[in-house]
Amino acid sequence: MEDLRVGVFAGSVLAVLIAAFLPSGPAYGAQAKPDVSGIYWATQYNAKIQIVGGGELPLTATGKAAYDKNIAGLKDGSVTDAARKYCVPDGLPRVLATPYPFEIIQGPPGQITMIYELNHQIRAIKMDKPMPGEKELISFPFYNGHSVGHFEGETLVVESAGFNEKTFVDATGAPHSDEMRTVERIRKISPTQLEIVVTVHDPQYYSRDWQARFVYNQRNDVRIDDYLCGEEHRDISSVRGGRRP
Amino acid sequence: MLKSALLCAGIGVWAMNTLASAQAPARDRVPDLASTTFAWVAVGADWLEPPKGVRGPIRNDPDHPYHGNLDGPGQVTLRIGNYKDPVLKPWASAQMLASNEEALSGKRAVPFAAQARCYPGGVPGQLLFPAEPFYFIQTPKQVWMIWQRDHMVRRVYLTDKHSNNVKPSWFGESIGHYENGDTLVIDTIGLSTKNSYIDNYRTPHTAKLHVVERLKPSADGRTLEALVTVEDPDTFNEPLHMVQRWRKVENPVLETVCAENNFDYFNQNLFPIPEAAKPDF
Repeated sequence: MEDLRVGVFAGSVLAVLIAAFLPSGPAYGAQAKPDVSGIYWATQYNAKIQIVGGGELPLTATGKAAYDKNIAGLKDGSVTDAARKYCVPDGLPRVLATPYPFEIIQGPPGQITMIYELNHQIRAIKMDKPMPGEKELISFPFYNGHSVGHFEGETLVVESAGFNEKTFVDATGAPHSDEMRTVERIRKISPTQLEIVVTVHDPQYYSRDWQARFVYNQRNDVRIDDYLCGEEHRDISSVRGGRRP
Repeated sequence: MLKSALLCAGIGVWAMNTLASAQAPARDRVPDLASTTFAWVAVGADWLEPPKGVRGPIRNDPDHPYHGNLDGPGQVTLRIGNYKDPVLKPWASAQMLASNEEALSGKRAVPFAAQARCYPGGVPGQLLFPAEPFYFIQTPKQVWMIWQRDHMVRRVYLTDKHSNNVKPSWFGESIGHYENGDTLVIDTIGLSTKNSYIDNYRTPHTAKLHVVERLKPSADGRTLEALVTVEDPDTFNEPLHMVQRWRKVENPVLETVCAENNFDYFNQNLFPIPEAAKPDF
């Protein structure tokens, strides 16, 4: 325990040293702490969302009907997976399963920005503003929702709401309603690993809140590529389950 | 153990003071481009004239004057580029003529415009996207340029060297640095050529395209201007110099998705939007 404390202490000294080397200015803001910035890349891809504790999604009767409709529709072509066909944003929590790298940027000041290589999706997480009111959330629903965040210790907590109903929860077509709200707890679980645990609250389609956990390797050696629907993209064969059809 | 940690902290504070005072002030100042509340909206979709005395952008074919949506009363016309401009190599001239004829004959009622059809605008073409603002994120090592429209992203690495092997891509490889505390200078190579144009007159380029953009906010901070130089000895007989300008607007970033409701409803033979024949994964 004592060793660990010294380690943390030494780490913060190092951070101060690094901060002293870097230029600063209004555009950068104060050196952000805690720091979850970096490039991250999953090592595992699951088409079907794996819920914490195992088992099946706790669908309500309405939710089950919506899921059945999606499954049948994806099969007979009456429902389109627009995220894969036209590369519209994946929405939450599906985007968390991406087999492509993504980046977290602590900036501009007052915001944490997540940019995904997959269809260059962007999530602007407001750190200095409250969640927009119901009227705005209903009037301007986003694929990836509206997000606000704050730190609890070393964990970045992101709450999202105001989703449109055009996205799936996962690649199998699991549904969500426009009343869905999510909370993501984002933290480093080791110097090289990031964990996101998402809680999905959607009483219209799910009888209880449920969670899914995603772990990513920090990959600051990778640069995020351009991505355009239908083109050849980076090799994702290192991501288990991320094989191309 | 605790002692060694305290010693370590002491050294840290000492080092920080020394380093802070040794820092060059010029390196400290960077143009303030990034914000969560303001953004930059382009004044138009065509290049403005550069300072006098240097070669400017490609314009319309004099036989087909361009009348845009914002040009007051009168019939709006299509952009028909001046394929006769002597700066163009023959292949580029021929390609522009073919594109013009496709538009003039009505074969394609609206000629290709990257951002209207959900394609990245490339470099420098993306700078011409009007109507929706773009944003910056600045960190000490990198700059991101983010267009609200279809969340297009360009990354500028604040380093002094290009990679040895640059794989061609829509936005290429951009490296950058700050000059005089007020200018962001971006140097870009590695631009792919398919459906990529340096302007809305569909002026093409080769893989040799080299673009330098100098972005500088005005003294009052209300506008941002880019002086852009494009060199491509296989397309142009001399470098072209072009200017774009943006107004600062209060506009927190929204999500606008291009592929939504962007189909060819009126059978205008619009350029198809990007689509995956089969899911990527």
